[in-house]
Amino acid sequence: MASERRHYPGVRHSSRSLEVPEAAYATATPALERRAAAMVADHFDFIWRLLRRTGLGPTDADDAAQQVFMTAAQKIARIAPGSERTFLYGTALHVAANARRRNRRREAEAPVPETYPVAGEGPEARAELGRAWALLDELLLQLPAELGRVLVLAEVEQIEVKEIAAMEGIPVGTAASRLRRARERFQMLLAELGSRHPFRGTDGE
Amino acid sequence: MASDRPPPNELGARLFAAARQEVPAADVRQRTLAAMIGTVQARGQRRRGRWQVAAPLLLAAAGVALCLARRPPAPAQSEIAREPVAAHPSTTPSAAVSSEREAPEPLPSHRRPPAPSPTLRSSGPRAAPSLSEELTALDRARGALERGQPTAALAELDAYQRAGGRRLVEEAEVLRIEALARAGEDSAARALARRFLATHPGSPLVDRVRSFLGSGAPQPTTRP
Repeated sequence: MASERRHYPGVRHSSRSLEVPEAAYATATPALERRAAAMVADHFDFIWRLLRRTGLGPTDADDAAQQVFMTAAQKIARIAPGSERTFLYGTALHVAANARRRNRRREAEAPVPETYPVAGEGPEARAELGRAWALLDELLLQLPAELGRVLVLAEVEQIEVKEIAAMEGIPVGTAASRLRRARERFQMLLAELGSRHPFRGTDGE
Repeated sequence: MASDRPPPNELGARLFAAARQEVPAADVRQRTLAAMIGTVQARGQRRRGRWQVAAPLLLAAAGVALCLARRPPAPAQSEIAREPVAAHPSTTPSAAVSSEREAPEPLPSHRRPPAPSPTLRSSGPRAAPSLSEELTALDRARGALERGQPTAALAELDAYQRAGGRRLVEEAEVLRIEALARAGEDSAARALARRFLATHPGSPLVDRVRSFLGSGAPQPTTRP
């Protein structure tokens, strides 16, 4: 079931193309460098978190994110301005699928790391966050892949449905209905958890 | 414990909020950016080299290469200094490999080429190669020629063709003419040269190919 979820067929990369003439490429380099810097600044955390929620551990997410952005660097002249996130998203899903196939056994054996890079948090809070992430991943695994993806985009990344539809390459109505179903099923999974939850419960600790 | 349990709505919101708090280490971001900038710059320099500064040089190099195909290398030539075609006299007699193009080239181990990079030939079904992949493929072919390995060069050119290279076909054909000539397959080289003139009459490489054809039957390259 995990492997079912882990494939991402039908994800469209941006089909628009902005060819830079060969001779102009060199003179365009500074502008392309600025674009690369902007892509990292704007989207690196998003892509890294996305990779984490597809089931990769932090170190594998590091590697996979680098791979995604290196792919973007190689194709940067052909990524239409404004479609960077969509390009990165589609690339990340492919990279994640490959990384998980490669690392499946290792991932299964790896303990949940206790040293997540969360700025300004103490060890208790970190442990709590670690449990929360693990639980979220466990629940997402129980959703069909296409529902898990829109749920993460909408709820974690707080991206609007219209943009999610563009990123997934599906009509807005389809994205909206997927998100509705995803939320319903996620609520059902949460209700089935019983007393299992990662938080201490009290706000005044 | 159960009394601490948040209702599903709240628990879900807290899980999502927790996920939002996770960020990659800053050094990963910086390393990635540095690698991206390096890639962009390298590609820019390659373009600059190929298409702005060295476009005439490319033509000159093709001409030099075609000349060299017909005589032993003369390492002192200035063109060779710029484009080091056959700068290293080969220890492998070309005649030894001239007949079996598809066979692995019988190289002494110390002259074995570096493993081909996987960009053009590894990944099975895939999109057409990018320009940089095509350039890399032709670089490998050129490198093989420079090392005195025309058979390896022909194999690289075959791989280029199989992978669907289409932007640099004229350069690839001129390299193939050269490689065939160096491998001692003069009639094939000349036939290909004639076909080149027929199919690419407007190519900037036409003059070089024409002079290759017009300068008498090239001698098979025999290396000292």
